Amino acid sequence: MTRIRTITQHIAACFGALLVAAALVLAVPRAAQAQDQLKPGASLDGNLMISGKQLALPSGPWIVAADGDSGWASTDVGAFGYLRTTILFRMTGTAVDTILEVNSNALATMDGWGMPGSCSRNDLVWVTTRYKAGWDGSCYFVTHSLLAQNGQPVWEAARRFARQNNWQLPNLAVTAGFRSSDRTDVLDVRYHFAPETRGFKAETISHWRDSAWMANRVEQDEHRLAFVKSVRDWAIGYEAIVESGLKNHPYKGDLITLPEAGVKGTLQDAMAERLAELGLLRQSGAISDADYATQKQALDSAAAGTTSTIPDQTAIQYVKGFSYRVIVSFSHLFNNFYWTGNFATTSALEVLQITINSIKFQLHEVGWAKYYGTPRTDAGRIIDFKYIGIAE
Amino acid sequence: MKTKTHFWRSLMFASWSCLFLLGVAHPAAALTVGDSASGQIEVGAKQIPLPDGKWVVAGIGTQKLDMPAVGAFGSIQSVILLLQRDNRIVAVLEIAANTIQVNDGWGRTQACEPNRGQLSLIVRYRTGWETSCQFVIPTRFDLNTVGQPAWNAARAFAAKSKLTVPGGVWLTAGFRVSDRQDLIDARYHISPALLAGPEAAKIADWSAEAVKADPARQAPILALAAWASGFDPLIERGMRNRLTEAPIPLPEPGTAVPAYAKVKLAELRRLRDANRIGEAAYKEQVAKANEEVPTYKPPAGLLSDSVYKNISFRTLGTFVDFGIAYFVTATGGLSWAIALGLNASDSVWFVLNDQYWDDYYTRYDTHDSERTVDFAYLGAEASGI
Repeated sequence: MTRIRTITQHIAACFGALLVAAALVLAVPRAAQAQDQLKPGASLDGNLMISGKQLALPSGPWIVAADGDSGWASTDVGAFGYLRTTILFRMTGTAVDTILEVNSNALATMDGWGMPGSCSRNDLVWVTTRYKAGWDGSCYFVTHSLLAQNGQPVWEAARRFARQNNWQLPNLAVTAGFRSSDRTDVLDVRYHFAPETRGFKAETISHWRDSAWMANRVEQDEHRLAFVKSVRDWAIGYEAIVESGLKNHPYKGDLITLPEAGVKGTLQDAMAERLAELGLLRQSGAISDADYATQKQALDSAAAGTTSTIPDQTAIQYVKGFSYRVIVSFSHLFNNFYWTGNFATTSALEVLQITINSIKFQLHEVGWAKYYGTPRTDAGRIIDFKYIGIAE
Repeated sequence: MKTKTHFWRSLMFASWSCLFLLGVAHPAAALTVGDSASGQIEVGAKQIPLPDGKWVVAGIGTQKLDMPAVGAFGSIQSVILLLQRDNRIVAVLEIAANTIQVNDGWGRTQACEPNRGQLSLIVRYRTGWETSCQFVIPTRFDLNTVGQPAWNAARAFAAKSKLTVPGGVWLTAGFRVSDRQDLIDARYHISPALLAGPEAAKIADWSAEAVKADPARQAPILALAAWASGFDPLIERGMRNRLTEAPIPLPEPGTAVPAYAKVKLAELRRLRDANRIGEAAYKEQVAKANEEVPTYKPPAGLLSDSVYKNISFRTLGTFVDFGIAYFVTATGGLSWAIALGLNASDSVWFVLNDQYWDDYYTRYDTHDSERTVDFAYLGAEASGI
């Protein structure tokens, strides 16, 4: 009887263990799967899965502060579901040390996204546009942001969450921003680093331009400059991770550390990563030594990749308008003089034709582009979302 | 106490078992010849959708691509999969994809150029760094056809496994999708017998002319083209590693043709049902999603576009020119003469100027736009593509 009870207990234990184990094991990938909404308070490490994209997180843990609809709406980009904002905190004691803000589309579109306004600015500490073409773009920048109350609903939820936990949020942060977009998707990632948890004095300013982190002031301050440079160097490596995450590729590299003044980061840039992949292919015999040498040379010469950009439609319209006006102005001189035979009348006609027809030409170009389409529908398009920080 | 210990031992064992099972089922696991696959497989870190059924990996290899302009792409990985029914192969899937991402785009394929004898061709987009097109062509091959290493491995596998590979013509739905970094070239060769019954397998001539003249040949081609159109979003999603959909059946008689917007509409419904978007946003985006269905628009020549543009410009412009001339000369006849004179000469300048700059900017920095990147395809010499 005891034996039967023991066997029954063993079977029950086995069955229970199997159920628990299955639940545990299956729960891991499910937690990592793209969910429509992450729960505030959840702790994350590794990869953040976001609407069919993923982002490798620097060493954490990261705590979900808020996740939801940013309230951004635009009918220009097609059916994108909603623009999802996810805000994560990384803590040092009770102070929020780093805020991660991710903006991403819920559904894939068909006709491209565009670039953020920040990547066209010349008053930021650092801006690099890797490429900006008809339907894809990649850029990153370093600046500072005022993290005040700004009505962005997800940010307001994150602030409430911080208040509930008695956590201190910075008023101003040093920001590394990334935008990677293609025809179907966009990942807009911003890391906001709290200066006060990194040994810098907190600033109580109300205007972005009053900050000691402005590009022209940072140059005069070696401590701030050292930190900004470390953020810039870190951003160069992290940009490849954002681009890779846009296509839902898992990050396979070393542990990502956050930027620290004077400390060399562990992040490899995209070129080093590809070189390593190339080495693996040679080792496996998939490519020959000669192919390896040729492709390594291609990598060396292409450096970090193309920085190709397409001029925006307005620029093209002006170029066309200017060259057309120069050509036809000469032709008009002959035509006007042929019919009037008078220099004064010809001159008057010429002046009016140049003035009025230049405007007419531009209006027609704009109208044609709008109603009959252009070869690159999103070329030069600026798409900004509702960000948590103010940087202007 | 003993039961507790046993519980933890069992827990560990069960966890390892589950991890092992998950590892086996994971599509990212390295492919080997003889593996079964369904739903999707991963080639070059991209997901390739598989139509419904149990596919078997028959050949794996790499292809030589001697094109330094592309940059460091690693290798072109080729995979051949077979779908069998009753020991008979009814579909062959031929995949080529890059293993390392490049920086500056790939290029075109001849299969997507117009007037190459395709039975159907849809170019969804074709820009400086991207291409997306789908086509239907007849392809002739059998087990004796020598080809690229992956196909040769597949032939050996089929012979060893005593699989019957029907000879003659296969109807191929091909897809080429590429962007700045990656490329997928997937060709689904389907037995005509599967599409239209055993009699279709006896037809030798599937040329465009023969298909046009024979309704019995048209029907399977139309079915395959419609299927390819609905299947295309899965290829696009696979390129971005985002395949979650259930497999779509092959275009056999009696199976539903997949609708292009189906996946998007289902996702929108899911977001609405989860209260992620409101009813108004849902309705608005459903309308948008239906507009996103691609329609074939043959590219208009630059000249004709410029001429249309000139006509539009002149329609209003001539009256403006007349107004300016009348303001200065106060003579109706003279003003019309000046305006019409300008109209004639400016039209020529307008077209030439517009054409020149459009051409200039189309070529501007679009490195892959004129590059043709083709691989060794199965039966390529038969279809002429």
